Amino acid sequence: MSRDAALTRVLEESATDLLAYLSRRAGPDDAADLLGETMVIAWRRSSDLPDEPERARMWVFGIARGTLANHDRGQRRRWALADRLRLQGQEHHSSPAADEGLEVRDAIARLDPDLAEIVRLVHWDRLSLVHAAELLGIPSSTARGRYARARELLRAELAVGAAPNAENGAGFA
Amino acid sequence: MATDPLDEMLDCSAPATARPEPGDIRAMILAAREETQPPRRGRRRAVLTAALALFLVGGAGVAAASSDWLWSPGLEDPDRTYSYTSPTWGQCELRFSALDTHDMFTNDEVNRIVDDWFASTDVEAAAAPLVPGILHELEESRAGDPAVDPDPRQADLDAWTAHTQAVDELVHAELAANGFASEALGGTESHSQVHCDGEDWGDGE
Repeated sequence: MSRDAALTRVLEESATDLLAYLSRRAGPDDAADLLGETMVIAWRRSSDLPDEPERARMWVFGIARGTLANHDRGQRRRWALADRLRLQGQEHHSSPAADEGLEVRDAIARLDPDLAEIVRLVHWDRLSLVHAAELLGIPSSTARGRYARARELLRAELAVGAAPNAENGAGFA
Repeated sequence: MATDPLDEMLDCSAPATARPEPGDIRAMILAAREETQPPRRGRRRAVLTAALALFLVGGAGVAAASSDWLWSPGLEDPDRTYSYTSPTWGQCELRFSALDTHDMFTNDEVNRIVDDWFASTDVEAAAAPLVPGILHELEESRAGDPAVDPDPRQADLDAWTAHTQAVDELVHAELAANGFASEALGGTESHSQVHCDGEDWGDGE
């Protein structure tokens, strides 16, 4: 498979998850533009695309994280093509409903930002802790520590009983 | 193993997100790819502009009888169409012919890729981000050139050129993404034609 074909495939396969990742951090309106920007940068750096599919997927997530950082610094660009995604965002939503889990989201938001982000990556974006650590650029052991601390705080905040087994949680693979 | 209720709560707290249409994602991928290839675009644009100028002369004869509009051979089948609004000519339809690669081993595959792309893509949305940049280049190419006479049709001709070129670039990007880079398509021929509701090709038509 050519490099262009490989990048096209990984972008197609990751686009929905990337849009969700960006939308949950920058809001649905800006997420579509950020997805477009992510794609432009991915093409610009296509020579760096990893061969292995999972590595390639994390590579584009890393680029998306960079566009978010630029967005936080006030850099933004509007894409006409993103208007369609914005419009769709008003029409079609994946479950759950928007008001579900409000209390939990508030509790996550009250955590230290580093702890909150690891929880969001594992439970909202379905990344393993290893991949979450890679995306954040921190050692896996640090990610595990943050995640365990976040769970401890959330369990107390939400008054959830202890797990039947060990405090393991998702995504330690 | 029993499920930890905390995991379930955290999993279910993910805010709802949009599920984009595959065709729109595909269009965005191709438009993003085009953004990264300005040198090639300029070269092809010059060629295309010349081709359009030739077509304008040749096509002017049938432009007057708009109610009896005839599409040229190879364009009767409207599978590869594109619509846009011209500055003064109103609603326009562009049709694109099949590609002739002059290679029996690649021709069917190349045209299948293009047919699939037109069928699965919102082509107007895909081309929209490219058009302003092409229009800007056309205007810049005339600026400061005293040899260029003002043409009352200029805005409509530019729109025609820009929309045609935008689709052309997207088609070539799609072909490249499927293994048919421009180098592999040397000598390939195709043509397109435009028809606008209020078109006015000028004196003598």
